[in-house]
Amino acid sequence: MNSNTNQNSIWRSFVRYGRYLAQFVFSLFLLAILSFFLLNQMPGDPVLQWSGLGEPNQTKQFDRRYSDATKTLHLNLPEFYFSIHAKCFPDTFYKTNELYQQDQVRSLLWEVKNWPALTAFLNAEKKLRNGLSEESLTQISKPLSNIKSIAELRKFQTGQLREFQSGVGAREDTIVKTFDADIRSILNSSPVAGWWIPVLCWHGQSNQFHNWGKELLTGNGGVSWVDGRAVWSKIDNAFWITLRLSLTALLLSFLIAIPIALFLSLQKRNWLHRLILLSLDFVFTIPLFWLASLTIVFVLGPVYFNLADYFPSFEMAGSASWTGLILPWICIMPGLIAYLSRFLFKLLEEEIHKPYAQQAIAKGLSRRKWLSRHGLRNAAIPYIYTLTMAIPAAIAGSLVLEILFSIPGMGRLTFMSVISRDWPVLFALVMLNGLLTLTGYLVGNIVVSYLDPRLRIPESTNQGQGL
Amino acid sequence: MRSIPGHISPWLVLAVFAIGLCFASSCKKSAEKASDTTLNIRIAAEPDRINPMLSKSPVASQIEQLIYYKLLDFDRVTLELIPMLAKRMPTVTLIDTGIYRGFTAYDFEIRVEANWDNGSPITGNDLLFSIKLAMHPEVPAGSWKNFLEYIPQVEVDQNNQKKLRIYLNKSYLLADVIAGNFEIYPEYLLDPKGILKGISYQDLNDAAKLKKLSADSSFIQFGQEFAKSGTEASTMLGSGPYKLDNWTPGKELILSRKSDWWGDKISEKEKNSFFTANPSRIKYVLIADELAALTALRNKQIDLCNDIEAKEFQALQTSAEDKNTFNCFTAKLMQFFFVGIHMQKPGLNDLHVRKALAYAMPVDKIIQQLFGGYAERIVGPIHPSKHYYNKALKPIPFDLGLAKKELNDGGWADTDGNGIADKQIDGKKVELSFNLLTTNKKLGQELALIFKQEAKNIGIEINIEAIEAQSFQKRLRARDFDLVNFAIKQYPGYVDLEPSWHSKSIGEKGNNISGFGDASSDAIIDSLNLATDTKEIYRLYREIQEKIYADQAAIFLCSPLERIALNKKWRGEGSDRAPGYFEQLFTER
Repeated sequence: MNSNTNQNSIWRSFVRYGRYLAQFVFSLFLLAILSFFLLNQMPGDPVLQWSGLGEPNQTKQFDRRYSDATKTLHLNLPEFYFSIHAKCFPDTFYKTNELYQQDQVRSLLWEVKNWPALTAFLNAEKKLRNGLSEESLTQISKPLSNIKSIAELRKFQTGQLREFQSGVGAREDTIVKTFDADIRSILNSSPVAGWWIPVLCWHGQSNQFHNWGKELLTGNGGVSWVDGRAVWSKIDNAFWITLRLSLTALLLSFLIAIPIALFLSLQKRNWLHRLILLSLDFVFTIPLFWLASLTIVFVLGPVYFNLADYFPSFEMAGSASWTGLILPWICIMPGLIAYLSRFLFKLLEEEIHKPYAQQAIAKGLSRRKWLSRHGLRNAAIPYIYTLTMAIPAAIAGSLVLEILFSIPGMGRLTFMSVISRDWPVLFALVMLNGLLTLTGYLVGNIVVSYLDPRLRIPESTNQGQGL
Repeated sequence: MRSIPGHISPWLVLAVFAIGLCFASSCKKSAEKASDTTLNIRIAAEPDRINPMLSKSPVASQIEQLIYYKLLDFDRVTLELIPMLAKRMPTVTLIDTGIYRGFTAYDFEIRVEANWDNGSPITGNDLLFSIKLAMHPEVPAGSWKNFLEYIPQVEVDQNNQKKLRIYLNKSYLLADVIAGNFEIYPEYLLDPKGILKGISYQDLNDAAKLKKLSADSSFIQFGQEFAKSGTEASTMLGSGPYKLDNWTPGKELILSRKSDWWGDKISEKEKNSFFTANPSRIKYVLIADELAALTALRNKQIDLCNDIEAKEFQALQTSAEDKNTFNCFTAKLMQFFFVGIHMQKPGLNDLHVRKALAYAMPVDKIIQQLFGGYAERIVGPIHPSKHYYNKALKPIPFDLGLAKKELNDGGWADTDGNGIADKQIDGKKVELSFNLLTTNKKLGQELALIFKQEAKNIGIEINIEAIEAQSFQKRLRARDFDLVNFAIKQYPGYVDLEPSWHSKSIGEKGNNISGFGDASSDAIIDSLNLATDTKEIYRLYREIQEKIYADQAAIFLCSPLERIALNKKWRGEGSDRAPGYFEQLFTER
C-alpha cells in the first residue's frame, strides 16, 4: 500500500514536471517559428548583402553568381516543412526567381493566375533580351522594366512595342514578332481551373527552418552574414561581458536595497522619512543616458575630476579588470537600488498591515523582531520572484550604457545585428533570450514554491482546495 | 528553511561596497595611457573583418590599405594613380593578332625588393592566386567578381615571375584602375597545400568546369574556410608596412609597423607616399558615442577623432585650451548629396516642374543648418575636387519667384484653390503632389522637411516618407518613388557614369534611378568610356554634366567636409580620400 502511494506520487510529479517541461519546449519552438518568419519577412535581399555583389548589375555572370550565393546560404530551399499556396502557384515558387524579383513575379501571377503562361512569358522576355543587339536593347529595356501589371503590359504591347518594331532590322523584327505573339498568349490566357483552391505542399526536412534550428542546437549556430564568425562565439564574448556588468549590478542592487527598505520600514514617519522616499523617487527618475553622459564628462573629462586613469572606461572590453565596470555600475545601480528598495518597502508595508502582523505587534512583538522573523520572509517571495524575472532582461544588456562606455556586450551586439541585418546572430540572440526568460520563470516558480508551499503547482485539479 | 537575517546594518553593506570600489580602483592605477609611440585613432564602428576581398565596412578598408598593397593605387594627397607594388605604371598594348585580338594587355613588373614576411618574393603568381581565390564559388567576393568580368586572362612570365600581363577584354576608361586594383594575397600562407595551383583562372570562369570542381570537397572546403577568414591576425598578412597585431572585438585593433619591411629598402628616388610609414604602432579604439570620443580626445586617450559634429568642431577651435592641444582641419570626402527625380512620373516629366523644384531648394540654408557650414555646393554628379568638374555651370539659386515663373511657363496653376498647382493632361487633372523618399537617418529627414516647406510656397506638395534602409533600397530598385534623397561616394580618378546615367541602366539591373538618358547623352557616355585622350575625356565629362544640368535630372546639393581633430603631438594633414587623413604619413613632433 505504502509503496503504491510512493509510486503514485513519483508518477504524479513526473507527469507534472514533464508537462511543465513540455510547455517550456513548446513555447521555445513557437518563439523559434515566430522569430524565423518575422525575420524572413523583413525587406532586403540577404543574398546581395552577403555576396558583396552590390545592386543587381548587368555583368554577364551576375545571375549565375547570384544563384551560387543563394545555394551557399541555403536560401534556395523552402522556408518550412510545408507550405500552403493557391493552386495557380507552383510548389517550387521559392526557387523560380531571384529573391529581389519574386515580389514582382508574384503580383503578376496573382493577376494571370496561370503559372505555365507566365513562365512562358518570362522566358520569352529573357529570349528577347538575349537576342537583341545592345543598341536595340537600350531602347526597349526602359519600358520593358516598367511593366509591373497586366494593364501595363497591354499598354506596352499596343504602344511602345509597335513603335520599337517599326525601327528595327529584319533579323530583330522576327524576334520582336515572336515576343509579340508571346505577349498575346499571356494576355489571352485564362486562369487555371480552381486557381484559388489552397494546396498543401510537403517539403520535408530539407528546408531553411530545419537547417537553421539544426545549426543552432548542434553546430556553431551558423555563421554571421557580416563577418563570417561563428554565431555562438560572437555571442559568447558579449554574454560574459554583460553578465559581469549587468548581473553583478542587479545582484548588488538587490542586496543593497534590502537594508534600505528595512531602514525605511523601521524609521518613524517624519520629514526625514518623506525626504528619503522623495530622494529615492528622484533617483529612480534620472534618465540613464543623461547620468552616463554627465559621468563621462565630469569624471573622465580633463576639465573636472580627470579620473580617466582610475576608471579606464574605454579599456574594459575583454580585459580581466573590473575597474572598467565601476563607472557603468555607478550609473546603473542608483536607479535599480531606488526602485528595488521602494518596491520592497511597499511589500513590507502591505505585510505589516495584514491582521496577523497587527495582532502580533499588538501582543507585544517589536516591529524590528516582526520584520526579521515574519515580514521580510513573506515579502521576500514577490521580491525574489521579481529578481528572477529581471535576470534575463539584465543579460539582454543595456544598450545605452554599452554604447556610451564602449562595452561590447549583448545590448550592443543585438543592436548591431539589427542594424547590419545579421539575421543568423539575431535569431540566436532571440532564442537565447527566450530560453533565459523561460528559465527565469521556471527558477522563479521553484524558488517561490520552496519559500511558500501554498504557491506550489497544484498536484491535481480534482483534489479540491480548502476554503 | 533558513531565515533571512534581519539585522544587517545598511551602512555596513554600503561601507563594504565603498571599500570594494576603492580597492578595485587602486588595483589599476596604471591604466594604459596613450603611449608616446602609438597613434591612437578613434573609430566609431568596428570593421566587419580585415580582408579586403570580403570586407564591406569603410573602416575596414581604411585599415586594410595599410596591410595589403596593390599594384597601383591613388596617392592619398595628389589623388593621382601611382605605382605601389608595381615598379612603374604599366605599359599598355592593343593586341591585334591571335586569340586575344581586340583585347588590351597591361604589362606590370613587381618591384624587385617586394618580399613577403617570410622572405619569399612577391610574384605574379600571388596576384594570379588572389584573383583565382576571388573567383571561388564559395567566396563572397562580389565586387572583385564584378571587376574580374573584364579580365579574361592573366599571364605570369615564367622566366621572370615578377613580370605579368593582365588582359582586359574591352577598352575602358577605368581599365588601368581595374588592372592594378587587386590587393595581393600571399599564396604560400593561404594555400600551402596548393589546392588552387592545379586549377586555371579560366576553369573558374567556366560554369561547366566549376560544376565539376564543386564535387571536390577539399576545393569547396578551402573556399568556405577563406570565406570565414579576416578576424585572426595570423592569417591576415599582406605586403604593406603594417601588420595586424591584435584585435579585441568590440574594443580595439592594434597595427604594428613591420621592422624589416621591404619598402624601406627601395631607393629614395623610387619612393612615393606609400613608402613612408612613420607611426610604429597604430591603435584604432572603438568609441561609438561622440561625447565619449571627445572626452577621450581631451583626456588624451586618443590622438585623432573624425566625424565631429559641426558645433563641437567649432568649440574645439575656439576654446583656448583646445586650440593649444589640437590641430583642427577639414577634408573633402568624395561624397555628395542630391535629390533624385523620377523623370517618368506625371508632373515630373515636365522640365518646368523639375526646374521649379530646383529653385525652391534652399541649398545654402541647408549647408548652414544641417552641416554647420562645412559643406560645398555642387552642380552635377561629379565631385568638385576632380579636374573635370564643370566649373562653368552656376549653382541654381534659391528663388521662389523664378520657381513660380517656371510653373506658370509650364501651364501649372492652382485652379481649384487647394494650394496645389495642377494642370489638365490628356483630359485628366494632374496635381503637383509628390512623395519624397528618405531613409530614417536624421540628416535626410531634416533636409526633406526644409524642402517640403519651401515647395509648399510655390504650390507643390511634398509628402515625406522616411523608411528603413533596406525598404528604401527595395523601393529604389522598383523605382517606386517620385523624389528621393540620395548620397553618392566616388573614387578618385575617373568615374564611370554608365551605371547611374546611361539609359541602359534604367531597368532593375542598373542604378539610373532618375530615368535620365537619350541617344545623345548615351553617346557621350559611350565615347567617354572608350576615350583615351585626357583633353577629350575632360571635354566629354563637361558635356555630360551640362546635359544633366540642363535636363535637371536631379537637384544637386552639396559635398560635406569631414571634420577632424588631431592632437598637436602629431603632425599630419587631411586627405581627400576617406576617412579624410592618411595615418601612415603622420609624424611625431
